[in-house]
Amino acid sequence: MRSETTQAPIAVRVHRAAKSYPVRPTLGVVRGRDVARVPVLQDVSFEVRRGQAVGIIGANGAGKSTLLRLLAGLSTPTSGRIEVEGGIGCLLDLGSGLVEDWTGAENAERLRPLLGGRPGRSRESLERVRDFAEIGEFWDAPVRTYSSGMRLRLAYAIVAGLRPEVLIVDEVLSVGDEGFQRRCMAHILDFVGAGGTMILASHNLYQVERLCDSAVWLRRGRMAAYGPPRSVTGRYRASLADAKARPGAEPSRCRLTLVDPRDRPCGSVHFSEGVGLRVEGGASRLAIHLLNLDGVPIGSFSVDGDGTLRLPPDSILPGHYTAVAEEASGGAESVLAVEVVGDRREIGAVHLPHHWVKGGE
Amino acid sequence: MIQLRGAAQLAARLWFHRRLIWNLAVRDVRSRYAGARVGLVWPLLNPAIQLVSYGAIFGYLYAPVREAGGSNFVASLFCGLWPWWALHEAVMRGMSALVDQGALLRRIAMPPEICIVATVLASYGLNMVGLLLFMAVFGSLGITPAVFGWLLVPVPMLIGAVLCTALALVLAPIQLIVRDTVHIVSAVLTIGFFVSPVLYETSALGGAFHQASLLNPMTGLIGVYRLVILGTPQPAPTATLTVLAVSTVGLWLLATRILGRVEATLDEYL
Repeated sequence: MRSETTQAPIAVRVHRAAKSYPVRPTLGVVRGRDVARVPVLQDVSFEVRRGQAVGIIGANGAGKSTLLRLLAGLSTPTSGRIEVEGGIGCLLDLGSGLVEDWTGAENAERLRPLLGGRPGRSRESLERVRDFAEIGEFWDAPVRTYSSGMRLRLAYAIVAGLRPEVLIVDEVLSVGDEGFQRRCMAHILDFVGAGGTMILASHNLYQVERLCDSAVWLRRGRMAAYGPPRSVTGRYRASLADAKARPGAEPSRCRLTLVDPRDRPCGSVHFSEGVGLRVEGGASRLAIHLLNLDGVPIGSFSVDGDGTLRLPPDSILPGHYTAVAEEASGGAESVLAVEVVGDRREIGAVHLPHHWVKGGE
Repeated sequence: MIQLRGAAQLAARLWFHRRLIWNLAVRDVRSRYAGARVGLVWPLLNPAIQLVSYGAIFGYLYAPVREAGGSNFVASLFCGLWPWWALHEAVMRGMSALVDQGALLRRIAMPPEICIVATVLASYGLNMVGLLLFMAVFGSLGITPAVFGWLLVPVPMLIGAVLCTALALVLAPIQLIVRDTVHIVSAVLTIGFFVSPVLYETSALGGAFHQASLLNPMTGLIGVYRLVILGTPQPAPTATLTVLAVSTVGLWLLATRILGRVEATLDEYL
């Protein structure tokens, strides 16, 4: 991606960081005793250079939020080291730190020094926060009268107005309405483009691939992979497919494989070849769903027994998809990551055959 | 030695973060009275009502005390009641600071003691403003010795501030882990009120009560207030002042020790 930044100084260094939590609250800690603890994060190490973005991916409960809290200084590692150079802007738990009885302006002004903002220049920066938040006349109304969307916008605007050097983002792009998400995304792109360092936790793998220079995959509190985003997300997807193919102790009977036009298993297919999905060991009646990465269905197909589902060439646009085979009995399910490669400029998931009639009739 | 250095470091850390502490204290006061028309009158009202009712009942209505001199009784009551109320409020609110400000602490990176000290400062500071206001009222009625009292009253105010800050710093981490603590402390403070020389001179009680009151740091502190504001001589100065000094320093050292142990893990209980 932005390879010119690989020689930039290191902005964030995580060295063998671990965090554990006490099993139950006990006064032992006050008396200086060791208490029973459960590990949440173990042996996590990675580095981020200034101007780079790193994505943290993993299932719920894998330790993403704990890692972000450690990076933000909101929590102390039980062992290991975490070093962050420069001011941190933290977009965790957006909106929860606002004081309900204060107006938007008061919150912006009074929370700023608490969040590590420099005093002075405040009038101008307050104007900036107001412009970014876009909450109109609500700027001078108490926050308790806000809609949840307005809260988010205000909280985001306050943090953005701090102009931090390191931005820590937790799923912020998945909340709020589309317009807000779009503006956050534009802001984040500007921020990283202007040499800011970002740490982003997300379930949206596509976002991580697009925005980040490297990715960390956390699995049950440990690093399962660390490296270029596409290779990490690829391995994560593969593990998701594996995990879903084996629900519990009962092995799935049906198996999905991506095949090329000559029926050979492959890692990806070309747009012009069309997607082929081979089903093996399936029940008599199966449904196959093709979803995009946000989980939106693109198509569903009824099939029966073993065989190969063929979608026409030039139909599914290049990108990442998930194929799910579901038995009609509601039992076993099989999931497969599908990648379509090729060079197309169209937006969306499907190429629709069409023709253009010139002139009006 | 190490303990002393730790205590000094704690004080230095608080000084380093003074700006943040001030901001948080202002936030605390503003958010408590946001939306109230006469906001800052309310924190003064409670001790004032106590002063008026205790003063009226014991100074004017209850014959045995009235005969000993009513207006002096009210001024003397003021010197005990107001500092007692300030300490009570500051300790109760300060020790709950980590629990009450959980949402803020989860979101803003800061050492936990900052939040405790800010809450103590907000509550204690307001009460001290009230104390000065009422000193002015008494002064205008010709009850307090004017210049002398005004110049020296910061001394007991500061000692009291250190005392209640140390108490809050010791109790807040415990309260965060075991939420019963605040109720126990509330009960202890209720008893503490009656072994402090607020409504009466504890020496008049005699026996065990008197002995207990000598071990109460508030006996020494209230004595200093009466000495400074009213010119009343300090009863048993050596014993009460030693207890006050030892308990203040001791609590501060204990706070340092406890914070040193739990500082890095307190976020786990928020």
